[in-house]
Amino acid sequence: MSATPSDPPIDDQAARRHTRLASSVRELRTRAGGADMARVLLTLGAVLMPLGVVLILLGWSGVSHTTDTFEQTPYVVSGGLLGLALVVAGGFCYFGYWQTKVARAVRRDAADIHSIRESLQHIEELLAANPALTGNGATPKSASSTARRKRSAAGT
Amino acid sequence: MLAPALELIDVRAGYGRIEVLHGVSLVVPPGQVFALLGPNGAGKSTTLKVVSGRLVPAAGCVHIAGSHVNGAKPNRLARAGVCSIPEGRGVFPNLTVAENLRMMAYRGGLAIDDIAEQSYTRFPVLGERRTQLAGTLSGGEQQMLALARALVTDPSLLLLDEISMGLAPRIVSQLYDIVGQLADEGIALLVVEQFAKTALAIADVAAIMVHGVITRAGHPSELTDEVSAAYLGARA
Repeated sequence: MSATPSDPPIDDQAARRHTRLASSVRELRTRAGGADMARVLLTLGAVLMPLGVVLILLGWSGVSHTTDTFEQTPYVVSGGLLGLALVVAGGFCYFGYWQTKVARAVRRDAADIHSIRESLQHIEELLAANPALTGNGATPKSASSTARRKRSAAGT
Repeated sequence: MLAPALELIDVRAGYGRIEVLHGVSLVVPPGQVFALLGPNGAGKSTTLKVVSGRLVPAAGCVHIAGSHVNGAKPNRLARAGVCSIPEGRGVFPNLTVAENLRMMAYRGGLAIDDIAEQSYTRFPVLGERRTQLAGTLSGGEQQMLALARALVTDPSLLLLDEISMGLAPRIVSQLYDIVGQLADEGIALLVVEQFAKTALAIADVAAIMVHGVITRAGHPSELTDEVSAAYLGARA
């Protein structure tokens, strides 16, 4: 059950405080991931993955220029394994960046839907208040349907 | 149309592996008093912790004035105008009343004298006891000091956790008169309370929380009869 009151009239003082709160809160960065974190992830991914590939190529080059195993081993360890680790780490960073983008898009879409729903409710209330606007003078069903919609939107 | 001062959407939160809030949704409109009532262990204080940023929700959304603030740091929220008075008053017992108020001068642009004048005007009894250690004040006076400290920050959203705890009914009534005045000044209030009758008297909206879920919400007059049933374990 959700606790969703109907929209009350708001006095000037409350509106002023609310506007100030809204502008202050808009600037807040959340631990859920700000713009800076996404950029850091993208940069790390973009640097680590190519660096890993370069190390693997250097390791391959070193290994291919000698037939002695004792000379090949350092190339495998320093070039091949480290390079592979960097590629994997860079891949995870890039995946994290991608997930951040997806989460942000979903949040933005949800906010848009919420806004559209509010606009529709507002239109419906206006139509209910002025039956002449409906054209055929049909009995407005908005009061109950609006309440129903609010309840269903609140998931109750 | 203004966004709600506070909106919780299906919030789940807890401590470690123990989930305390099982999908809490509530809306506090701007400039209104929302009373969150319920018995001990219902999750009321946890809800306040989530709103004030002291606890990050495991799921759901916390919106303040229309902005998503999940996981925002408590100090940032406080500076933005979300002020919380925790259970237990939150004053420095070893400092005097004046020193407690002076601690709030961290906000740039506020002179110590202005803070003192503002607080003593609203709470004259604090002016009389300005040199007394906060720990030696009565419970009601300590609560007034906590309120005074909070109001210095000029909050837009005030979170009150059990301000009646351990106080005589007469003092509680006085404190709630002050809370009513704060609402008149346009501050949105989320009041967590076990002292249901007093809280309902000043609330614009109320909800009953039991076992981490809101079981009933509505106008205070609709809930008066159901509060005792909820406290005694009946289904609300």
